[in-house]
Amino acid sequence: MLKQLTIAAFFLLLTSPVLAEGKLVVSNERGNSLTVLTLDGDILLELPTCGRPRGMHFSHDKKNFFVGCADDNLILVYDSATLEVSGRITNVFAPETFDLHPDGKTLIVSNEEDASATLWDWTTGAFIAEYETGEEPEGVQVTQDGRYAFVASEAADLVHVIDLENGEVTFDIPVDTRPRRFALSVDQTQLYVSAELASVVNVIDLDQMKVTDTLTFLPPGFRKEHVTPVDIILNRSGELGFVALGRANHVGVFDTSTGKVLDYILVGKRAWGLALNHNETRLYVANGLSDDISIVDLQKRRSIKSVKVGSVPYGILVFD
Amino acid sequence: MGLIGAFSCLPSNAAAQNATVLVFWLHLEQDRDWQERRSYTGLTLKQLYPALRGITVGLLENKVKLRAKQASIDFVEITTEDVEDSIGKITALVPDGAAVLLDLPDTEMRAVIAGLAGREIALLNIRSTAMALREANCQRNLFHVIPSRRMYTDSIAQFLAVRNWRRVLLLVGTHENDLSQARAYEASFEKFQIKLADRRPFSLSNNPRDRDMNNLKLLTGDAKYDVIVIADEIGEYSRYVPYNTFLPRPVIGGSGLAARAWHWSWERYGAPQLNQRFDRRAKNLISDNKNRHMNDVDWAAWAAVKLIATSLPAASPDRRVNLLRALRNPGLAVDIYKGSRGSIRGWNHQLRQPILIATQDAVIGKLPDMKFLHPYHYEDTLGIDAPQSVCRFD
Repeated sequence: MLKQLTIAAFFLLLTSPVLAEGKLVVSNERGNSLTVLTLDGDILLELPTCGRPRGMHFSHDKKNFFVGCADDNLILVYDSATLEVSGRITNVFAPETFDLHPDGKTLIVSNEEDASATLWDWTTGAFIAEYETGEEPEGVQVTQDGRYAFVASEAADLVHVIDLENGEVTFDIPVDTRPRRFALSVDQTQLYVSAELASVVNVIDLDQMKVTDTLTFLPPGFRKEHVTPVDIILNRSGELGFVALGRANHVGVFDTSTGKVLDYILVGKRAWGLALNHNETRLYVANGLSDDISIVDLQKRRSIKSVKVGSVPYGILVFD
Repeated sequence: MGLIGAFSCLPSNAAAQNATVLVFWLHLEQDRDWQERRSYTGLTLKQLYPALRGITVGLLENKVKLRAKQASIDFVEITTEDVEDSIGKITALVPDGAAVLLDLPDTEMRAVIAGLAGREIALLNIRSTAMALREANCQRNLFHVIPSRRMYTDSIAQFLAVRNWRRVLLLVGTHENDLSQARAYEASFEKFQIKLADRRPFSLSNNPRDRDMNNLKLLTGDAKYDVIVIADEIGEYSRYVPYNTFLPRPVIGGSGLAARAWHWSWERYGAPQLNQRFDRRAKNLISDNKNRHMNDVDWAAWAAVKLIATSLPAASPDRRVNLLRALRNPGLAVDIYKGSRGSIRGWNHQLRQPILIATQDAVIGKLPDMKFLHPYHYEDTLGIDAPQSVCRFD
């Protein structure tokens, strides 16, 4: 107990000014911990947390962030400044990833082992609604207007479209094998879906609610089966997309207007989680099988540093 | 025969525009491999169970996928007495275009398959590893979801080659399957340039006149080898071999480190979720033995249902689906939770898949190893490849 207090005191003493300048939080799925680093990748702290922490998300004002604890059926609410747990949402069955509704209160959660998506008010911890999905729901994406939520079912090769106003699943859109994560175009007309085992990213036209285009990625020297895309993000203008290519140990950069691959950036083993800093000069990549994160300089499009974090890093949040 | 009650939760409402496909599960009323196999010590070794639990997991898992395709599976169990009864019931009950999951012991499996040659139904072998079904006796309406014997032994040989454990002492039992197993090992060793230090028969007896066959010190002495590989169908002898050897060497096969299609401790590519669906959800529906893990046959049964569900075309005006044709679609690929998509080998209809090498409680390796190159599919380094196969559908 004394030791813990000392570490906490030491941490606060040492890092209070650093916190103001920004930090990274990495969830370590197997290490049951969060690694806190500076934006340059200097480790500040490894913070024990709940069982199998996976998806993370900010609150709108970034004063809080949420950590899904798959093995504890729990979502923890953290205070971003103190890194203390300020709330907990309990009885959330095996949460994997989630998105925050534009109302700022409703978390939409995929429950991996329960074939469902559930809605929770994070400010009170109250359960709101549940929707049936295919097995192993994964990525969750809410539209800007808060009308629809998309949930990918890894096992059913489907994207479910939940109409949140009418409270029903209105479409099941067939996509390629093992859909994982989403990115939504800035104009809200196109939804990008990574299909892990098909080695592609499907593009869904949201007017037609079907796949109208498919982007393929193949870094030099790799075979199709090495390419297992998971996380996908767009920059703020929506012109550039970034895809973590999993077993191909690269991040693919693509032009959203043409769908063309612009570059492949070598990172660590089984790259999954991605995050950009605010002015989009850096990309942070969580590498699940080398227990490290890669820090990518986006001007050079090269990894400039890799930093050892906890066991099996999953997601990254950037505070800057 | 009858619809199984456990699936009343599935949409039986199949609306008019829905495509309904029929999937049958064929098994014997008295299957000798399902009898409790006890050695004289009272331990159960290498016991098999009905595939129903794996099928159930598959049906539940694919419900939503089928909903999106406006299709549904009607599942029917067929219980039979023998080969003749099996062929008779299939002929009477199974319409053209439907699928039958064959859950039979080897002898019956061969005879039933041969009796259904030329029929327009899809037969899915979820249990037999026999080479003959994939080679000399291969059949156009037959698909193999479970790996072949050579895929298992090739994965062991490849595993040894990767570790450079090149000299093998092969111990072989007297059961008919031990001899086929040993032949497969020898072919695999030759393929991956593993040297056979010696091949020796073992015997379960205590007869002192057979001491060179039952005394482990004698059986494993007087040879230079890196590793011992055992072909032991029953598994009673092999479990006493590790740590009882003349030289301090690892032991593979039998009940030690073994090649498997699936393992309960496999933890990548979504495997924990599948294992949990099998362990937790299905055990409340199927009471074969509540506390057991998914084995190779359970996995193959699950994968067969998934293969069928994936092969169905998306909603289209033509609602008549011929599963035999759908399964032959060369583009068919299905997530089999082993890190690469499972597809069907065109030349003999074997499901292409990685193999796991596991101890009792850990997966030590997944084969193929990418060090072994192949012009088309890494997985085709396991098993008899197209140029060597005597079966030629494509």
